[in-house]
Order: sequence, then structure tokens, then C-alpha cells
Amino acid sequence: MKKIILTALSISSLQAFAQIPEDAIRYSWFPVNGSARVNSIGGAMGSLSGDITAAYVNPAGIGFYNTREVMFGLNLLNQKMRTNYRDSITRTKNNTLLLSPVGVVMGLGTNRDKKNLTSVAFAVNQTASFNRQYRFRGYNNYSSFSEQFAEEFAKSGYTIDAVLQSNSPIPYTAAPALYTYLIDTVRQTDGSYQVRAAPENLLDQGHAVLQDFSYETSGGIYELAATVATNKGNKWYFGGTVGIPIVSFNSLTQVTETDTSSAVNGFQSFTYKDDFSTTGAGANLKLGAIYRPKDYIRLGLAFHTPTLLYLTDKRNTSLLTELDGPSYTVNSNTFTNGSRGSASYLQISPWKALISGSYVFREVQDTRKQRGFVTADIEYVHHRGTSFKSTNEEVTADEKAYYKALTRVVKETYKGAFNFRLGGEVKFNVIMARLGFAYYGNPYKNSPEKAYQMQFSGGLGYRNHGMFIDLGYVHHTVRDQQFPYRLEDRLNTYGTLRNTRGQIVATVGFKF
Amino acid sequence: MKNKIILLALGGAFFLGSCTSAYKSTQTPDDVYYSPLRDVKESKVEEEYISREDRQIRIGTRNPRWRYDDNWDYRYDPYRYGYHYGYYYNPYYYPYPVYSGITVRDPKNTTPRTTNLSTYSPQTLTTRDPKTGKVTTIRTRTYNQSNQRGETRRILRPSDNRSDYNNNRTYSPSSGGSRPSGGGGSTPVVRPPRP
Repeated sequence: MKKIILTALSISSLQAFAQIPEDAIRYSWFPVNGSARVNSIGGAMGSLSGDITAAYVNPAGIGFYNTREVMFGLNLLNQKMRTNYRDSITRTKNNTLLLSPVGVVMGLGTNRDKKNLTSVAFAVNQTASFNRQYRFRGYNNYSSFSEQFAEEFAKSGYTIDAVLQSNSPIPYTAAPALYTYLIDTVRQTDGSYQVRAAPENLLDQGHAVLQDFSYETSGGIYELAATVATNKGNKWYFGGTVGIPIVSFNSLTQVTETDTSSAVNGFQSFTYKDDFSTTGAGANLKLGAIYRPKDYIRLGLAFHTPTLLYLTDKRNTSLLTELDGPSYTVNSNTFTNGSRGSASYLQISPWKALISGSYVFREVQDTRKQRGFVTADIEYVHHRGTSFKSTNEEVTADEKAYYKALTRVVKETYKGAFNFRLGGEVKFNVIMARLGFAYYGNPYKNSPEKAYQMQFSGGLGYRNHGMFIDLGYVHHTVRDQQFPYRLEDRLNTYGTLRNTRGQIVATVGFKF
Repeated sequence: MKNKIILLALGGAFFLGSCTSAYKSTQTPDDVYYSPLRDVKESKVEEEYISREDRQIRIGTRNPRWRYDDNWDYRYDPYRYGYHYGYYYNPYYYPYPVYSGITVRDPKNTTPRTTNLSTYSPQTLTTRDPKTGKVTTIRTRTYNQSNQRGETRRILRPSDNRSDYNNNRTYSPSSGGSRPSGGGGSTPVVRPPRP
């Protein structure tokens, strides 16, 4: 481990900047989003079958289908964010829509050949949502966001002239900061020069800056799934899904720091805006099996291969710096040949595996005699397995080294985590009632605070006249933390996030 | 994209909902509990006689290569593309540039989003036992979370040589580093003058 850290550091010290590690868990740490029925039972779907969500969890579940159905659904999310940053609490809220699985399942079997039955499913689902708005706001007498630009520029080994170019090597951060004099070189008493950020003047005098970080993210992962499953004598069920995830992530970050002192210290305020987007698509494979040793008992096993995501980042930043007197402003397009910068790369998100068990009360054809089920999943996600590779047309040796170092840092920052899901249903002929619970474990290896996601859910279903309507409610709590900036030569500061979501889910389906 | 998918799904679902009648008068199966097999009765399908002329028309509608007479039309043969009456219309044989009007643009900047990876590793702290004088180095993660509590801000100077901090702020440009992978095509950007 020590060797890995040292190697990562030695590479990063050549030029210590690359794609960021936080990008790793964005595509791996999120709960199951399925139909209203599945969301109501905590997303536990590893051995249950009989729902199109199985295509995204355990494709063998599609093998239980001998009928045909089409379904679609929607989620309405009400989100509340409570953040704590340097003892200051900020609250925000927003509403958003989420797509549930939309698709068709067809059992191809007939009563002519009952030993080998095949079923197929085609669906599209929003597997993750990135819609969030939150803010960190607080006084800071210890460090400034702008110091990371000073540190980055000093470590880069570039001259000021090398950075201030129309095709700059540090176009989004240090170049705008140098251009607007937010950072500059300052001659020391011993004749040497040091890179300093303007807010350091007041911080060194014991004053504080008022920091305001505003984050707005949107988009999601929309996954197309094609599933084939087979039923071997009503004992073994096997299935496979080819998944094509389409990623759309948009982020707008605004950072403002203001001098809270009345002294003349060469700094008044700065506003930094970062407009960033990631788009792309990829592929993965989900394989599963369900064994039914006895009527009523089902045991499931599923494996999801790593997802290959071919992504392109586009970025544009702007900076307004107000010193005591003059003010300067610039857009990063000045340093990226007049258009938004664009970086392409391959991100391999981690594999996951799950085991599951279900007990179904009365697997009989007469729906009036069907009574209910209980089901549970244990899932392992290898969060630390995310890796990156550049796919730019001309990849430099340094770029290769950065992505290699980044992959190693991801391994050191994250760990594999277990997720637990539990749910049940009680059935009264055409009406059903459901309850569920889910817990998604901490993906961080060394987090300052505990991070987890937890869901309590419930719902009702109606199934009659060739159609079904399901409604559910999910109370979702997320505990997490975020570093608004990181410094190598000072202690870091982070904000805690407490995200509470109320999620109303509705699914409608028809048998045909 | 999301709205289109939703509209498509709504349209499709209502269409199917209006069409389906298989389970309207009987019990609606719940596939979680039991999924009944479809009952298919055997039926004999008589082979349809198709005349040669009909067959020719059908083949022609599916594949334009067979549209004229009975012969394979070599104009559509990918292995002989461009070959006609003994002459190749092949751009590789054409003596003049095939493409024209291409304007040279500045290369796109392909610098990735950046962060200092070293900050994700634990910091190194050195402690000295006052009794024995033994120096111990530990790697730890500590944070400054409050304005009242925690470590006081230290003024960084180039002469600082504390082992528990890495002072990286000295301006000592080296070779100038590497260029972004977009390549050259760069011109200097002049800073506005500072009063």
C-alpha cells in the first residue's frame, strides 16, 4: 500500500493534476431505481422475479415470465439538503422527476414445450439521478479556495507566460487566477519568489473570508437493457442483460469569497464560476441465476460486470476578482482557443455481485389464493475498482501517467461496500400492500464522517382487468461529506451533507 | 430526451391498454407468484404458391441489386465499387485533391479537469518524544473544521522547512512542463496592467 501511495505521489508531483477521484463513485454509489412495486419493497429484487426491474438487478428473474406485459413509470422527488460548513448550517430544497423502467417483457414459451421456456425484455430506465442543489456558506479564518490555484501553479513548474497562453496547460484554474491577479508571484525578503493568493493577505493578519459555495447538478444515467432469460424445468432460471448506459451530468458551481475586514489588504472579493458537463455512453453485462429448490423458495445470484463508459467532459470557467481598487474578469475560453475545452476518457466503473433469497406464500395460479412474499438482497459493490484512461486523439505520456495515478488514488480513497435490501408484500386478491428497507454502506476508506444511504419505503398495488397500477413512497436519507477544495500544505476543511428525499413512485402496466 | 421517452411510453402504453383484452374478463396473472403458459393450438399452414415473376418482384423490393432483370447489378457490389465500363471512379486514382474548402482551426484544448492528487493522501506528522528524544513519523488525516477550534493558520514562507508540511508555493519554474494534448497553435495572452 505504501508503495502505491508513494508511486501515486511521485507521479502526481511531476504535475499533480488529473481527472478527480470524486468522479468515481458518482457512477457506482446510488440505490436501485425500479418500478413502484420494487421501490416499495426497498429495491430487493435479486431473487423475486416477475417485474421488469429484474433486467437491471438479476436478469434470471425475467425467466419466470410466461405472459407478456408493457409498463412505464415515473418518480417525483422532493429533496431537502442540510449542509454544515464550518459550524454554519444552510438549507436548500428542490423538486425533480425521475424515469422508472419503461419497457416490455414477453414470455415466449407455450404449453407445447414446458421444459425449456424463454423470455425476453427490453427496457429503458433512469438508474441514477444527479439532480441536486445545495450550498456551503461560512466564515473561514484558516484557508482560502484560491490557495489551491496558487499551489497548483507553483507545483506545475510553468512560468507565468507559459500558463497565460491561448492554449494553456492550466486553462480553467491557474490561468484565470493569474490573469485577474487573484494569484501572483511575490518577492520575499530572501530574494526568492512565492506564489500567493490575494485573500492570504487578510488571512495572515488573522481576519476571515466569507465563503459561499453554490452547487447545482443535473442529469442522470439512462440505461437501455436487452434481456434474455430461460427457465429450466421450473427449477433453474438463467438470464443475461446487455446494458447500454447513457450518461448526462451537468454541474454549475459558483464560489464567492469576500473580505470581512475593513482593512485595506489588496483583496475585496472574487467570484469563480465553473460550468462543467460530462456526456457519453457505455456498455455492461449483467448475468444471473435463480434456483428454486422447493416451491415457495427462491435463491438468487447475480454478477454485474464493470461498465465501460466512454465519456467526454466539457468545461468553461469564469473569474471576477475585485482587489482593493481595480477589478478584473476573464473567461477560460481565452485560454482554450476561444471554445470550451473538451477532454475524452474511458472510465471503467466497478463490478458488483449480489446474493438473494425469497419466500413466496402460495405460488398458485388462482390469484385469490396468493398471499404475499418476503425477500432480501445482500450486494457487494467494488467501489475502489474504478479506473480511468484517456481517449483523447493525441495522448501525451504525462496524461497517461495522470490517469494511472488517479486510478491508484481511487483505490486508496474508496473501498468495497455492502448494500442490504429487505422487503415484503401482503396480497388481498387484487389489492397489495408493501413495505421495504434498504441500506447502502460507506464507500470511503478514510472518511472523516460516516457516509451511508438509507431507505424506508411502502406502497399499494392494484392488479385486475389486464392491467396493474402500483404506487409507492420512499423516504431516502443520505449522509455524506464533501471537500470544496483541497490543499496539500494546510489542513483541509469539509462540509457535511444531509440529504432527505421524499419520493413518490407510480407505475402502470398492461398485460397483452 | 427524458420528455420524449415519457411521451413515447405514455403513447405506447395507452395504445396497448386500449388493444389488450386477453385478461379483461379473467384473472390478471401476477408473475411474481405464478405465470401461466399461453395455450397455443396446433394449426396447419398451407404452403403458398409463388410464381417466378412474383418471386422476382419480391426479391427486388427487398434488395435493389436484383431490381433489374435477373442479374446481379455490380454497381452495388462493395468489392467493385466505382468500377463501371472498365473505369474506376476511385478517389485514390484521382490526381487532384478530392476535398476542398477545409479551413484550419485552432486545436481544441483537451486538458482534463484537474485536482491535486497528493491532497487525497494522509499528511505526514513528525513527533519527538521529549524524554527519549525518539522521532516518530506518522501519517494521519486531520482537518480544520472551525474558526474557533483547530490549528491556527501558519504563514507560509519559502524558508520553511517543517517536515509536517509540504511548502509547495515557491515560484521556481522548471522546463515549462508539457503542452496540452491538443498540440500547439498557442499565442500569448497579455494580462491587463496592474496599477
